Amino acid sequence: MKRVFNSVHVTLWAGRLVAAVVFVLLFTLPTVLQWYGQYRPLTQLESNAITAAFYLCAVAVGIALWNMDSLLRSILNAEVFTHENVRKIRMIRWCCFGVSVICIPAAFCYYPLVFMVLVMGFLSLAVTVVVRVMAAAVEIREENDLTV
Amino acid sequence: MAIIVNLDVQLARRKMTSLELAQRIGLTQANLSILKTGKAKAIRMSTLNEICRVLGCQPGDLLEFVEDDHGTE
Repeated sequence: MKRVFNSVHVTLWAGRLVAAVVFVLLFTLPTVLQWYGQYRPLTQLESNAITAAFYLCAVAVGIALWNMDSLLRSILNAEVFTHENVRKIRMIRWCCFGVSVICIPAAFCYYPLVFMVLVMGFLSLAVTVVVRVMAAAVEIREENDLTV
Repeated sequence: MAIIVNLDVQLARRKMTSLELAQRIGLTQANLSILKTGKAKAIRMSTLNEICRVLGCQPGDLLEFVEDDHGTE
């Protein structure tokens, strides 16, 4: 169990690191785009599309990271198979789906974003499977708890 | 729930308390309470066996099927 908790700690801090990177990017995105433009010149439309998509996605990413952090903290408190955790994973699924949908119009302006649409779409599908498994596990746990 | 647990009736007939039964069958009072209040989703054969042995009754004396609007739930 200690090994599981250690890996949960690693994931928890990895998530917080990603949150910090996203937070820094909120303020430095124009500079980063300028720097990127030196290697692969961007048109004004492409630059605007990336900026708009990033700021819209940042909301969904923020919600997903908050839920992920909360989920991992509840796992550390040994509260794994609960309805609350299912709700959190479901929220993460919707956030992944949201990022995928947000990137669709932006992908028409900046084609590499198609990759993002596909990856996030696949991720939301994968998280849906996790939600189903988790919901079934909660049912089994409740049934087990109520077996005398 | 279509299955009614008549454990309290059997206990009253034998003038036995839940605590005494729990101690004699090796079950926690919390689990016995789950059974008594009808919240239990399943009962182990070993638990049923112990209850019947201690109370000197048949499983049918403890469990009763009652038709309700929702079927089995």
